[in-house]
Amino acid sequence: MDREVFFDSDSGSAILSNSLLNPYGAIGLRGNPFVAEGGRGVPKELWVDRGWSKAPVAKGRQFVQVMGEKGFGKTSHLKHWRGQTGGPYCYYPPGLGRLRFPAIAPITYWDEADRIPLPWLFLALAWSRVVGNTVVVGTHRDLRSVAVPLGFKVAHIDLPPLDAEMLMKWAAHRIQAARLPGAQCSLALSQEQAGAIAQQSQGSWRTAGTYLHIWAADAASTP
Amino acid sequence: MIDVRLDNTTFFAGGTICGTVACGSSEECKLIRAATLSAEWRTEGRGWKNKAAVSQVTLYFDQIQQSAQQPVTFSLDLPQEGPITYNGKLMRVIWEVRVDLDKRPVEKSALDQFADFLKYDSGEDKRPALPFVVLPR
Repeated sequence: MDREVFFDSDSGSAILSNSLLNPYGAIGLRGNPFVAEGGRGVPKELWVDRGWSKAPVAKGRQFVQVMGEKGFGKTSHLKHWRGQTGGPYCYYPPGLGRLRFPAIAPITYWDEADRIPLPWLFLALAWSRVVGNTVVVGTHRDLRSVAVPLGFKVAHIDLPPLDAEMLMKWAAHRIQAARLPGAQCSLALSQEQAGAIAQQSQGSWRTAGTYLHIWAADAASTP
Repeated sequence: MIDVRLDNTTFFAGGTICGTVACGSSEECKLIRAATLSAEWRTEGRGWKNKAAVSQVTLYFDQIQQSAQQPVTFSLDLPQEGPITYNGKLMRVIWEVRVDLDKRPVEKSALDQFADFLKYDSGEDKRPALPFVVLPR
């Protein structure tokens, strides 16, 4: 056994049978598969490829723009790429926080970049272009009109809304990752449920995640 | 390898968690300078995450080595004001005893050190955890 710490096996079996310790044990899961990730983004093993999983290269004289409505996955993509390339990540909140000058680096991530004041954005992009950096932005507004005149190679990604098929794939992947080894798990999202959740969520992964979290909690309380 | 046991899996707010720690006589155990056990709660679900360590106890080298002959007992106090274990539809409050081992550094080659440097830190808490339930008094 390569674990450094061994916990009592009697308590271990209690974890599976004690509904207060882990109500999800009754449906063969370690926990709710749809818990929200912290600030670090989606863990590698839970990532579902939507066609843009590979990060842009650093020092590519490139401006990569990820657009989409709230909850469509802009931040998740930026953080997933940053997990591959490193580099600074700057989130621009509404209010005075947006006055911070963007980080300049071989590859840099500016989230909610449409909140950066235009003079700051122009200066930071011009500087990045001169030194040949790659700038990746998450934005609600098209910023190509600032980047193109500066001579960047521009890549534009328009994230589509979540649909039932993608939701089913995502849910199955998450459920599989949360399964207790050797346990039976019957939790599966039907086509009808996926369609209803995708519609209620209005294309937002974040909102769909909340509905699925409730759905899994219901299933665990009435196995 | 350290063996950690709790006397029970259910405790009351304001009560005390009792358990034992036993270390084998392996070479690996001799590298452990100290083991810190802490009672912690954390939230899990759809909102912002929150967590806190409420009490801690540290066992030092001599105690750890003695535990090879006889398990060493430990106790951790739980706060009166909670929180208590909660399993809701949107979030959970989970209590755990976490174990943090302070080990003598093992010498690594420059290549291994560089490989460690390149590893992406997911921010996940990798300390071993033993969950337990806290009920209202």
